[in-house]
Amino acid sequence: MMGSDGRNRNTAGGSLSAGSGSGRAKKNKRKRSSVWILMMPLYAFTIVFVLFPLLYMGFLSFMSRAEVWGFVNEFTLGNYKRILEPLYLNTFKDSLKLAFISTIVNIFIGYPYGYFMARLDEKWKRIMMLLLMIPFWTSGLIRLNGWIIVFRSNGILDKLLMGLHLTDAPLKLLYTYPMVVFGMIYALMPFMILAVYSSAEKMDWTLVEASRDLGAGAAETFFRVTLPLTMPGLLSGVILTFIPSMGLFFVADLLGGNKIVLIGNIIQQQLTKGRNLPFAAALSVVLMVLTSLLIALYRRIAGTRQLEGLI
Amino acid sequence: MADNIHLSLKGIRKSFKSGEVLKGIDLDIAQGEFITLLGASGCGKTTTIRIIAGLDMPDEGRVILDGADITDLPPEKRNVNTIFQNYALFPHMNVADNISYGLKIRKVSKAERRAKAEEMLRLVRLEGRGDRKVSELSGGQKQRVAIARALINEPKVLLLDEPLGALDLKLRRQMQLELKRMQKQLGITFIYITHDQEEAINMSDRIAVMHKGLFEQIGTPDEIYYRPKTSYVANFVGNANIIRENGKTYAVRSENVVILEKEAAVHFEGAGPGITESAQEAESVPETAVPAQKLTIKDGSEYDAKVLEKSFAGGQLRIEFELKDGQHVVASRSGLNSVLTAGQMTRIGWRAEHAVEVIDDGI
Repeated sequence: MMGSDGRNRNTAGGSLSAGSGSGRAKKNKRKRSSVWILMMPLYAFTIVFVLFPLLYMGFLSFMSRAEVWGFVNEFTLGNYKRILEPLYLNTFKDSLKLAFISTIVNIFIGYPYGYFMARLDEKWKRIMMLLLMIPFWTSGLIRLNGWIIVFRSNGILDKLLMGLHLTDAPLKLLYTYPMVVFGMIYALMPFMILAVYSSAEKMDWTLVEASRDLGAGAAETFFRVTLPLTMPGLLSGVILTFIPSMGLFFVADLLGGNKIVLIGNIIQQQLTKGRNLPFAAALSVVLMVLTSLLIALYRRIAGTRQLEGLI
Repeated sequence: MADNIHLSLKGIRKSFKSGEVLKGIDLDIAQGEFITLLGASGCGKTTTIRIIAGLDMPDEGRVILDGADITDLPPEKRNVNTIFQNYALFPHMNVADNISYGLKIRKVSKAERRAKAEEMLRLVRLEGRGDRKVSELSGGQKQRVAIARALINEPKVLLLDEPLGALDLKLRRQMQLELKRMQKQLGITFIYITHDQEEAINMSDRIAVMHKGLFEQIGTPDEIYYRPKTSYVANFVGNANIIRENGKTYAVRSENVVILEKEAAVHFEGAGPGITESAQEAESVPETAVPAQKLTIKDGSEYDAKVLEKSFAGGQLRIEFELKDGQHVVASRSGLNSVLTAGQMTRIGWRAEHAVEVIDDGI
């Protein structure tokens, strides 16, 4: 999932464009043109499936709603004006808040998991990795429905707690805000773990020993050596968990009932029930711009550090 | 020595999953001494210094530094620093920050840190390179930064784990001299690990030869080289031939093996004194005119030997012989050629003083 870091990519590019002597240059030229041919499908794919839909979505967001389905070619700023209504603004705010909470919890659980997994011996590394990957082989929807069975009123958890006389009445956890946060963390945790793991695994552990040897305690070594060197993994983990948690509408749908509405839910509702394509497009554009801005801000704070080949 | 013990290891034992690595070692080191742990890979020398550094804990035994038991102290509480084999420089810091890391940990002021770092850069001859990134340095420069980063803490003992292993031969020679110079200048105790006997002999005050988790012999380079106690030491340090005869074991270094055939001796220069009809005399006579005549050794042993193989390695010609009882003997000289050919029968020998009786440990 994580490619090589940016520095490696730069040196690879450097050695490709280097080369002295005319024969070498000719060879390189030929090599470049064949590389270009090989890259063609990739470019074509990107244009057809990424660039074009994005432009179309942007275009759509300025059109007017059609009576039953689709849109009419009539320019309007109304879709964007509507987003400024408190109902939608608050939804953006709630979504951001939820994304922040789930990302922070993911950092505090995912970082130690990924970090310690990287320090295990090969056998245990494989076991921990397997435990992490097995849930991936099942659909996310089925897994979330599994949690419903556990958490619903008089579900497995309630029966267990009441059977142990720890509680007297059902906890009514399902369809609450914490439940949605839990679902979001659960769904995105593996991304954080894997991102941190890939960074921590590459780290040279003798650096930690060197730091201890030079007089730093375990905690100081962590903050001065380990954390800075695994920061690229942590940063990509943050981006990998923050962005999806703004849009994973089915988590809020299944675990939040209709009480918790996130921006992803509104987009989905406008598309399906509301049949308002232009408004859904406008919401999507705003969400996209918002996340791009946050990433840009984040990159600036993070400085020149590379985001583990992600962005 | 006894009144000047600085660091001592007492009965250190250590096992890993793969087996027992240290089998109860004792070592006393004097203040300001340059001591080398010499041995093949896997003999336990790295584990020994990791235990001194506190990076590994011994299963048994104590580590005493200046009279205080430091066995249970974590690495950061010991006044001991390590030069790691791969240098272990922090890639996210520049050269000056790497060097002053230890001072920063001890909350030394920025001005003082900078001054000390400059001083260290001068010591390791890297003046003005403090702003460089670690990745911009050559292997030799990284090595110097690692040394400066350790020495800035003024450790009581500096541990060096094959610090020159990754450098090319020329640079290695140069760094050997520089390390020795720094050690003398600073008067810090150095515990140096290597598997290169030349390096050990060049640099050390004393050498401790390690084999399978134990010290085979501890002594000055002269003692180790000229008076090996065991067949392993003789073979590992002096590349000596191990000759077993009448229930005794002798070590004979290859340069002391004499070829006792006049013509061969002429070409194979330096038969040495103590040989009747010395090669030097014979040289004045045209080779072809010398009749085949036997040379003898006054006080020593002689053997019939078959020439097995000639090879040129490390600036020396090596000739391998097989004795009648099947033992192999290697003779070596500077020079490129010899009239001896593979398969030829000849006579070889050595003077009694060159055959050192050793304890046989099967090597």
